[in-house]
Amino acid sequence: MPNILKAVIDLFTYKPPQKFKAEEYSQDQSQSSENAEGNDSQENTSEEIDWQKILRQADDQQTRENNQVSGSAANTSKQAKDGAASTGRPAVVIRRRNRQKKGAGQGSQGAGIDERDIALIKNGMVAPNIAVNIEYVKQKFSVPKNQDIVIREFNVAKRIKAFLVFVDGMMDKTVINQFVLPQLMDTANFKDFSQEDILDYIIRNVISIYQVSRIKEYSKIIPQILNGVTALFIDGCNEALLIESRGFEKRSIEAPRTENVIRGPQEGFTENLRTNLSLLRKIIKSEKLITEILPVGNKNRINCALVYLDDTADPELVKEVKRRIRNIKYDFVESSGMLEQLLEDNPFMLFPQVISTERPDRAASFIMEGQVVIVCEGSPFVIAVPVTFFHLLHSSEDTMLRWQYGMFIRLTRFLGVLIASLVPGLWMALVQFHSEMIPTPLLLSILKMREAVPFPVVVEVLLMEVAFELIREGGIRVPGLIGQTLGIIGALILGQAAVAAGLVSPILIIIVAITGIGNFVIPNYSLAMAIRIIRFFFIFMGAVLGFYGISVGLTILLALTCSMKSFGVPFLAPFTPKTRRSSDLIVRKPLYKQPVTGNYLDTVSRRSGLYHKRGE
Amino acid sequence: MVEQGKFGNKEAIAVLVIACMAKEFFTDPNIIVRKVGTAGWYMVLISAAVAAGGFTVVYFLLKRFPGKNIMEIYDAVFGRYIGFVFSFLLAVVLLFSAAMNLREYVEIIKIYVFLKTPPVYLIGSLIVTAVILSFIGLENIARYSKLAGYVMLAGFIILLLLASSFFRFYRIYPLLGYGLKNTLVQGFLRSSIYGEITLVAIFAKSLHRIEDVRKVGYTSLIIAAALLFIMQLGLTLIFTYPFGKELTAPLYAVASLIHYGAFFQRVESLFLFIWNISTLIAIPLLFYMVLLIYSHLFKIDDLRPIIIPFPVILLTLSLIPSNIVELVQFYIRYLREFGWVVFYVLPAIALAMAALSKKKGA
Repeated sequence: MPNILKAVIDLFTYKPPQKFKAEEYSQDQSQSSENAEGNDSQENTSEEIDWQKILRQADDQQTRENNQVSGSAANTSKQAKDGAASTGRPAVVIRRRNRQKKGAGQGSQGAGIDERDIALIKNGMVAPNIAVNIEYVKQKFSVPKNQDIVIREFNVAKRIKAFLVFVDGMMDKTVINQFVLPQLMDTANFKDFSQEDILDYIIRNVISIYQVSRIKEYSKIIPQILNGVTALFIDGCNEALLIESRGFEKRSIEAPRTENVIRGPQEGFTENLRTNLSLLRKIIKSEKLITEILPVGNKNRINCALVYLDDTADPELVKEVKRRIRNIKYDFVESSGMLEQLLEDNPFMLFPQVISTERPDRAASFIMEGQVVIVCEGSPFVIAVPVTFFHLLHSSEDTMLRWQYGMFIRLTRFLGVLIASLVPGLWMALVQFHSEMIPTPLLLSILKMREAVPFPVVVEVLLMEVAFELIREGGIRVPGLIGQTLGIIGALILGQAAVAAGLVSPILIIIVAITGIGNFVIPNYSLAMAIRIIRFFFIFMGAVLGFYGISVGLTILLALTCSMKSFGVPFLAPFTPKTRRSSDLIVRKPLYKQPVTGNYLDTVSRRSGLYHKRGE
Repeated sequence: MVEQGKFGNKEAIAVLVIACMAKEFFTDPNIIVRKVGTAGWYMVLISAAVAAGGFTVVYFLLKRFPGKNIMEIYDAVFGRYIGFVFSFLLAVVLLFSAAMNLREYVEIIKIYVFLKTPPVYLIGSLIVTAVILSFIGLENIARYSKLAGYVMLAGFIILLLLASSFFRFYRIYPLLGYGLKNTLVQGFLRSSIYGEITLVAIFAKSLHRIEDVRKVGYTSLIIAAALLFIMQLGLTLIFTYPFGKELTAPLYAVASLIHYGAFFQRVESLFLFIWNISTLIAIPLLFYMVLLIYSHLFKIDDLRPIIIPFPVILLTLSLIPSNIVELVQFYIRYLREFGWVVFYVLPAIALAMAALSKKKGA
C-alpha cells in the first residue's frame, strides 16, 4: 500500500529534467548542427547501459589500483620524479587529478569517481576518468563476450594510463604496431611536452598518422570504431582521439561484370566505399564535387555516400535524398539494392526508379548532369537519382562512339524493348484473333507446323516462355562455364526436342528467341526484369482480347508509367511533360552540339519547373 | 476541391483532339455522307467555324471569370440552384455521350473483329480502363494522350498515304453534294462533333493561364478540323457516295482495302490500334469530366469514392440501345445534332447573363 501511494505521488509530482548541458562539452558548432539536423549519429542509448555496474566496476578497479600504488609508494614516487623530469607535464596532470579527487571527497559512488565523471558518462560523453571509460566501452561492446573487439591498455610515456579500442580485422595492424603504440609508449617523444593539452601534443608531435580527430561524444566514437577507426582514450582527458587506421581486405579494381562496353574505360566499382569515391574523384576533378557520408540501417549502420556537384545538382533534390536516407527505419540495409527499394517513390510500380551502375565513368556522367549518386558500402553498384525511362536505355558506350553509331545502338535498344515486351503478346493476338493479317502462304506454313501440336497457342507460348525463364535463371545460378553450357543445352537441345516431340511449333521457338534477344539488348538489368514480367501481361491481354486487349494493356501500363515519378521528376520527362531537354537524352547528336551542363533536371542553373522551389 | 494537377498545352491539345476524333472513326463519316453526300469534306469545316464561334463564347466566359472553371462560373452567374442545373445538364450529356460512344465503338469492333464476343465483355474491359485512368488522374491521362497522340497521328497519316492509291478525283463531284443550303444547315447542326473542345472549360484550372485556354482551344479545334477534313476528303475520293452510304465504318473499310503485293495486305487490324487507343483515351476523359462535375455539384473533395459506382451507370446507359441501328439513327444522331445546345448555348446564356448583371470574376 505505501508503495502504491508513493507511485501515485511520484506520478503527479513534477520532476525537472536533469539534462546535462551538452553544449558545454559539444564539439564545434558546425558538427553539432550537422548532427542535430541529420540525426544520423547513433542516439545516446543510455537506457541500455547498466550504469550502476559501470560505476561499481570502475570504482573497484580504481580502488585496486590505488592499493597497488600505495603498496609500492616508494618505487612509484621515484618513477614519478623520473617521469616528471623526463616528460614534464604528465606528472602535473596526475597531481592535479589527485587534488581534484581529494576536493571531490568520497562522492556518491566511491573514492575514485567524481560527480563530473558520472554526469559525463551518463550523457554519452567521454569521462576524464579512464576506468569509467573502459567499463563503458566494455559494456557497450559486450567485452569479453565479443571477442573481436580489442581493448589494449597501456601507459603513455610510461606514466599516463590509456587504452586503445579497435575492431580486429577492420584495421591495419601496421598502423597500430608501428605508428601508434611505439610512439605513445616512448618517453622520448614526450621530452618537449610542456603544453596544457596532452591530446593536442600527441596529435601534433607523437602520432604520425595522416588523419586524427578529437571527439567527445560516444555516439560518434562508437560508429567510427565499428568502421575500423581506432579510438585512443587517455586518463584525465574528456575527449578521445580517433586515429585513422582502416584497413580491411578488399577486392582490387576489375572490369565491370554486367556493363561491358567495347570502347570505354574498363574499370568497375568495388565493394570498398573509399575506393569507389576515389574512382569518382579521379574522373571529376572539381572542388565542387561534394561527398556526404550518411549511415544507413538501424542496426548495421553501413555508410553510404552522397556524391553530387554543388553548383549543378538541385539543392532541393539533395535535401530530399538526404531526408529519405535519414528516415529509413530498417534494421539491416545490406547494399545499394536494398537501399534502392527503401528510397524509391512507387514501390508497386514495375519500372525501376533509380538507376544503378558499376561503371565509374557512367556515375560521373550522372553527377555532371545534376543527379545525386549514392555510393553504398559493400556494393559494387552505385545508384543515381532521379532517373527517367530514357536514362535506363543508355549505356556509357553511347557517348564513347561517334554520334551516328551511338544513335543507331540507342534506337536498336528501343526496338529491343518493344520486341521483348510485345512480340509474344502480338503473336498470340495475331494467331488467335487477327489471322487474316497473315499472308496466305505464311499462314499455311504456320498451320502446317502447328498441325502436330496438341496445345492451344496460349499454352504453347506460356510453355516456351516459362521454359526460357527457367533456362535463364538456371544459367545465372550455376557457375560460369556450366551456365553457358546450360544456356546452349536449353536453347538448342530442349527447343529442338520440343519441336521434334510435337510440343511446340518451330515458329514459336523463333518468337521466344527474338524476345529473349530483345531483352538482352536492354542495358539496365532492372528494366530488363520489368520487361520480362510485362511480357506475360501482354501475352495474357493478347490471348483474351487480341489487339484490343494489347491496346488496353498499353493504355493502362503507359498511363501508370506517366504517373510515376523519381524524386519528383516525372518518369517520362523530358518527353511528357516537356521540359528543357538534355540534347543527349533521347537521340544522340554530335558532341559539340550537346553541352553536358544543359540537362532536363531542374538543376540550379535551370528552371524547368519540375520541382517546386521553396517559396513558389 | 479535387486536385486535378497541372499540365502543359501540348498535353491538353492532344487529349482534346483525341476526344474529338475518337468518335469520328466509326459511323460518323457514314452519317455525314448520308446527310450531305460528297460535300462532307467541307461540311466539317463549316461545323468547325460554328464550333469556333461556340468556343469563343466559352473563352470569353472563362476570361470574364479568371481562375474558375465552367461549373464555378455557372454558380457565380446564376446562383447555386440554376448553376447546379446547368452543370448537371452538362454532366448528363457528357455521361450519355461517353456511354453512346462506348457502345458505338463496341458494336463496330464486334462487327469487324470480335464476332462472337458478348458486348458486356468488351464494354467491361473499357470501363475497367476508365476506372484505372480516373484513379491516376487527369494530369496523367493528358500526358498519356500526348505520348499516344504522336503515334496515332503518324498511323493516321500512314493509313491515308497507303490508301492514296485508291483516290479518284472525279468522286469529289458533285461539289455541292445535296445542295449548299443543306450542307450549311447540317454543318451548323453537327458542330457538336467538336463539342469536346469545350471540355477545356471544365479543366481550365489545370492549365497555367487564361491565354493557355485560348491557345489550347483554338489549336485543338484547328488540328481536329484539319484531320477530319483530310479524313472526309480521303473517304470521298475513295468511295463513291452511294457506296459510302452503305459502309458502317468507312475508315475501317479503307484500311482493309490497302494492299501492296501479296505479303502486305489485310492490315486493317494493325490500324485497330489507332481507334482502340483513341477510344481508350476519349471515354475515360469524358468519364473523368463527369466525375469532376459531379464532385463539384455535391461538394465532394475526393473523387475516389465515386469512381467505383459511376461505371455502373455508364455500363447501364451503354446497354440501353437494343442494336446498332437504334444506336446510330436515334441516340448518336440526336447527340450529334443537339449536343451543341449544351456545349455552346449554355455558356452563351451564362455570358449574356453575366454581361447583363455585370458580374465578373476577381
